Amino acid sequence: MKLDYSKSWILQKLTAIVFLLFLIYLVFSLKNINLSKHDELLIWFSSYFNFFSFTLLFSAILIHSKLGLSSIIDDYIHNIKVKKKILFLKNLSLITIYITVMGILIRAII
Amino acid sequence: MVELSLPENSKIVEGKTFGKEGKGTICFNIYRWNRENKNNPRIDKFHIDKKKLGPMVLDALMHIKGEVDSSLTFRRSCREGICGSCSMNVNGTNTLACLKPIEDVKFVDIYPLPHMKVLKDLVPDLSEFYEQYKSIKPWLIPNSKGKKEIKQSQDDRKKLDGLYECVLCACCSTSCPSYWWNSDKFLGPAILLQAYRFIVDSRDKNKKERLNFLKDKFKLYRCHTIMNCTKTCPKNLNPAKAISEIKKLQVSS
Repeated sequence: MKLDYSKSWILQKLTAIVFLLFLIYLVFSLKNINLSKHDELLIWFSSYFNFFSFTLLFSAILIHSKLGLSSIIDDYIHNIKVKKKILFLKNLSLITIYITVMGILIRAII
Repeated sequence: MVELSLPENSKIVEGKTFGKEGKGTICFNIYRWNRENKNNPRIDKFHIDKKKLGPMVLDALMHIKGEVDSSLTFRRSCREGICGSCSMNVNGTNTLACLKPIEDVKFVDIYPLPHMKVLKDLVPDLSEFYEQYKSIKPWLIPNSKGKKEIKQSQDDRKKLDGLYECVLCACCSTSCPSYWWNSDKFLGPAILLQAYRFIVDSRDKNKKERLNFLKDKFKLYRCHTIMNCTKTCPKNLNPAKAISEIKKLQVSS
C-alpha cells in the first residue's frame, strides 16, 4: 500500500505552528523567573498549564525534528541499507531524548 | 552517498581559442565535450566581433557554428521561446538561448543544463525527463467515452493561465537541487507544473487518480520550496506555486 506522505507534510507544518506559539509563550512566561534557581523553576512547572504547554512544545519540537531529519536523510542518502540504519539511530535518539527529559521533569515535580 | 570529488575524467580543462580579443569583441566561453573520444570536457573561447552578432545568445551560437566551428553542437528550433529546445546555462542561469540577450558584457559563459548527462557539447540527455512527463499522463481523460464536445467556462479556462505556457525546456527542473539529488524519483518542477495543469483542468475527470499518483514522499514531496525553479523560468511561470497548490489539494481532498 502506498504511504500517504501528505499527512506527514501537514503534520510538519502544524508542529511548526505549535512550536512557534508555545515558544513565544515560554519566553514571555519565563521572563520573570530566575532560571538559576531550581525552586522557582519547580513552582513554574507545578502549574498544570505550564507543564502542559512545555510538554506540548517539547513534543512538537521532537516530532518536527523527526520529520525534518527523515526528509534530509531521504534527500541525501540513497543506499537503502545505510538509510535504514540511520533512520533507526535517529528514531532511537529522539525517543531516548523524549523519555529522559519527560522522566526528569515528572520526577522533579512529583 | 554524496560524492564530494569529481572523477578525473570530468574535470574541465582549458580548450581552444578562436579569434583574437580586441575592441568590440565579446568572448564566449563554451563547454565542449564529445563522448566519442575519451578527452576531458573543455572550455573553448570564441572572440567574436559584436557587430557580426544578432541580439540573442542563440544568434551568437548560430554564428559560431556557421562561421567559426561547425562541430559546436546544441539544440535549437523556433528561435522565439516556443519550442524550448535551446535551454542551457548562460552566465550561471538556466535559460533559453533564444530569449537571452547578449548583454553589454565582456564574457558569456555557456554550459549545458546542470546535473544532466551530456550527450555532446550543450546537448543534455532528457530521456528521463520525458519518461517522467509520460508518467503523469499529460492528456485529458474525460469520464464519458462519447465524441461530444466538452465545454469549459471562461473562469475554468483562466485557471490554466500560467500553466499551459510551459514549453518543457527543463530549465526549472535542472536548477532544482532536490532534482539534482533525486532526479530518478522526484518528478521536478516542470513535470509537477504540467501535472497541476491537468489536475485543475475542468475537462479532466481523473483528478483523484492524478493526486493519488503524486502522494508518495519522492514524486512531489522532495520539493522544499527552494524557488530556484520560479527564479530561473525563462517564460516567467511559477512552478513552485503549482507544486504548493498540489500539496494543498492533497491535504484537502
